[in-house]
Amino acid sequence: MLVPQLINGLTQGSLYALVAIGFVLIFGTMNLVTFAHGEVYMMGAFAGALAMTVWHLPWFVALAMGMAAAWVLGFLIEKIAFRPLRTAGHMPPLLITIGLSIILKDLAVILFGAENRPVPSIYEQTIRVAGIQISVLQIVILGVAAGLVVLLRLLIQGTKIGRAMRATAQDHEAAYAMGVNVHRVFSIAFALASCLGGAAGVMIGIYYNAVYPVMGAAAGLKGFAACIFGGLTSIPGAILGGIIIGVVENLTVQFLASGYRDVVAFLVMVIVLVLRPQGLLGRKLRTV
Amino acid sequence: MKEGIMKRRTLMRLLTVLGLAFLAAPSAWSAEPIHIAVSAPLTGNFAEYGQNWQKAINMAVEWINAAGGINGRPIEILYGDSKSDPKDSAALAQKFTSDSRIAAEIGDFSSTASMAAQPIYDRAGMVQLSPTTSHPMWAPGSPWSFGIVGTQAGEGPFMARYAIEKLGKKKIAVLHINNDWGIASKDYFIHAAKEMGAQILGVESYFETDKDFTAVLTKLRGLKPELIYVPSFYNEMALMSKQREKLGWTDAVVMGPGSLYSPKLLELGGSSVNGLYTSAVFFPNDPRPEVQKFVKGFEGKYKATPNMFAAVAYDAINLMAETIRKVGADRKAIRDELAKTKNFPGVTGKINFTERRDVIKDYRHLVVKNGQFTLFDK
Amino acid sequence: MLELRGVSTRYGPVQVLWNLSLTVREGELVCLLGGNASGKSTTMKTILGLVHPFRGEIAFRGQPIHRATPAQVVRAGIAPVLESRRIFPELTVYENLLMGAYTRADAAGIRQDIDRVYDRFPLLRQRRGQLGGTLSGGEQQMLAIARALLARPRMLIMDEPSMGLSPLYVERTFEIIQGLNREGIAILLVEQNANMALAIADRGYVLQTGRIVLSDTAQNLVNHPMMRKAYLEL
Repeated sequence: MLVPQLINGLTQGSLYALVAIGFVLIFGTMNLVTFAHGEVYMMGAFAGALAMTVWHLPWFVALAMGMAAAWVLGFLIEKIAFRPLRTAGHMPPLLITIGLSIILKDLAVILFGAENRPVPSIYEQTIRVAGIQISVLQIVILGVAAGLVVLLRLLIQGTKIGRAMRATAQDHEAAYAMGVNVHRVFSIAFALASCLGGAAGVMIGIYYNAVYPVMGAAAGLKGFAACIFGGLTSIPGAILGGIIIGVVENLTVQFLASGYRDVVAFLVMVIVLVLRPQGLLGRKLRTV
Repeated sequence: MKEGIMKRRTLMRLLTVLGLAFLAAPSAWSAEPIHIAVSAPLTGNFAEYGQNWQKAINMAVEWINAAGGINGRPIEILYGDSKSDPKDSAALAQKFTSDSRIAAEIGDFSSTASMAAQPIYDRAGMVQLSPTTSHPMWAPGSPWSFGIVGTQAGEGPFMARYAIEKLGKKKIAVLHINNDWGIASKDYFIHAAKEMGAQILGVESYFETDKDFTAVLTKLRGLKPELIYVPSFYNEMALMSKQREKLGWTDAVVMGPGSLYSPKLLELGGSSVNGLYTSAVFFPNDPRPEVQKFVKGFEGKYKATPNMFAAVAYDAINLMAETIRKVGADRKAIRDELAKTKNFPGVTGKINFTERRDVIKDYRHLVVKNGQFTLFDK
Repeated sequence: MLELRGVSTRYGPVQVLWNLSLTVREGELVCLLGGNASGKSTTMKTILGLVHPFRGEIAFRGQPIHRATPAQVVRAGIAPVLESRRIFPELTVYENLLMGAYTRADAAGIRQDIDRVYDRFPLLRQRRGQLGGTLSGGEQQMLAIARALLARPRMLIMDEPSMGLSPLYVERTFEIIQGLNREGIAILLVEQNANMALAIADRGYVLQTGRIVLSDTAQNLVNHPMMRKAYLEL
């Protein structure tokens, strides 16, 4: 049962990673944390679920719609919570995002109801590889997560806006002086982060066959943990952090008990941070 | 100082009551309403169960009031949202018992929440009639506590007999929700199953908020059980079944108690819940007139078939109304009369309280076939 | 070419520049001298559009730019060489150069210009794939200047290009500045190193606590008693 648990953990971890990358993009460029990320993920999940249940669209169209909805939502949140308070320090935007997360949760209850909304199953078959039964859906989810990471990498490494994002992350004033519209970069980074969160939401909805208004809380926490775990500003770190948390959780269920999964996952995170305060792949803070 | 606060509170309460009376004035009723409090999870993780209650109770009260109320007095329900959280249910108990208008209370949803509030109702001397609390230690805990859903002390052995004697499955794994209800449910089942000669291969638990069961299912699968017994609610069971199906685990039979019996299970679970065994105390297709009246009324009003949670709440409010009709709105008189209940025709079966103030239910063997609950007959 | 008239700038409630007027003519090399906290950097940021003055006007080639964004200022023809280089440490040398050309869309022209700065600074060609942060201070200064040139500027604004460099590189940097100026690029050189700056400048301004206290030709400034006392004989 070890290999199936590893695959379970990898699948779940890959989705945590997508959420964690969002935190990295936002923290990396803007030096700010959002507490509404989990709710953006939830809204994306609902958009995807609606696409599949109401309009009966195929899952990849639902994925695209969930990502688009999350993109728009992220764009708006940045406009509402971050843009007007760019110079107000860390606290005000943080508090606003906490408020926004509550509003979004309640809004989802009003719009979609408090109950679980079912999401149709896809790829229910399993395949056998070397005697081990693997769910096709898990492979699909891993594929989607990996594909999105590759696309993100292409965007960040290979395009002008990606270069501007990196430059802004490294020195936003210098980037601004070079003529980069840093406000637009912030907007795009935030929307992109939200979009990845929305993708994770849609895929988790498909994976667990349910979306519900409070689903963002746990995902936001795990994603944030994975992001810290990986060193706050490192995308590979966030991916690694997400996967480690996912795998540790599932192994905990196998070898301890289901109830300890979150405890052990967060314990591992605390241990890593004690040993490496800069996170797994983070750099030590430069003393200036 | 303290006295000052008390006085101010009393004054505030007085003003509130006056204000409410003023607001309530333009009704056709000349008589004072009879107030019954309901402590239920209207929001939070169990919100949809609480909302099921609310629908059933509102409909029952509408009907009672339309038929002239209780001896000319209308019923008025005061809802309190406990989120089924023991802190909130206890706080609501304080609030309800100190409100002299309230004759009795219905609630709470989970055994944990009901038991946290129990000492407060006990001290104040107010009936706490829970539609769903089935922990065997609950109703005996106070002479003011009543349970009408039956207990796992009855249901556990019933399900064990179903699994072992009817289905012939002896290698069993258990996966239960980690709360008072789930633990008691599991304990009674395991105890009875072991006595019947079954082998319990493993016991796992999950939390109310869990949605991912792939890990725990993968673990249980490794034990190779013939049957998994899952004391849970229909939401988790639906998710669990779908995830089990996706993991390709099809060679074990799934069974769970009557809490699974809901149209929602079929809707959420789809084909993955085919072959699931459960039991029920409430059947929408039951031809008894009281059941059909309830089902038709509910379907007409809410465009949905009522589930077990709606049915027990409907029985609770009707039983309460009937009791008050006999003895009036006196808290003590209600308790004494309630304890004497004989053959009350509930939609979930006849209600006769045992000495412990709970009910022995008459369960039916069910199995899901082609997306429908059907009677198991073999 | 560049004209500041009565410019006043503040950060929140703190006023930093007071009624500042300054001119740089076509092809001129002008230095702006001053000690720490004299307002030199703020003057530069105000010209570049990083902060906006609350009073006064700035014109570049006749166009008002005191309300312009940095992108508009760069497009108008002013490129910055920022204080302490401000190389993007985790972009490659090549990507740093591309950032200099951020406001341009002529891919072919950019490629050509990159080739040209590689010819001017052969070291950068060798290091083009290396991360900016791995270069030495002097090499970073070359990169910072090269990056500014990628904007095809008519004027360079340089903030303390000599700061933190070894004497060899300071000399090298000033030679480059002089060379660029000879090629027709106007330069506003913001410096603490008054000796070096006045040696290559046509004219100079002296800034003290946000106000211009002296302005004259470089030659006259070198001989000015106040200058000798305050800056040159340190």
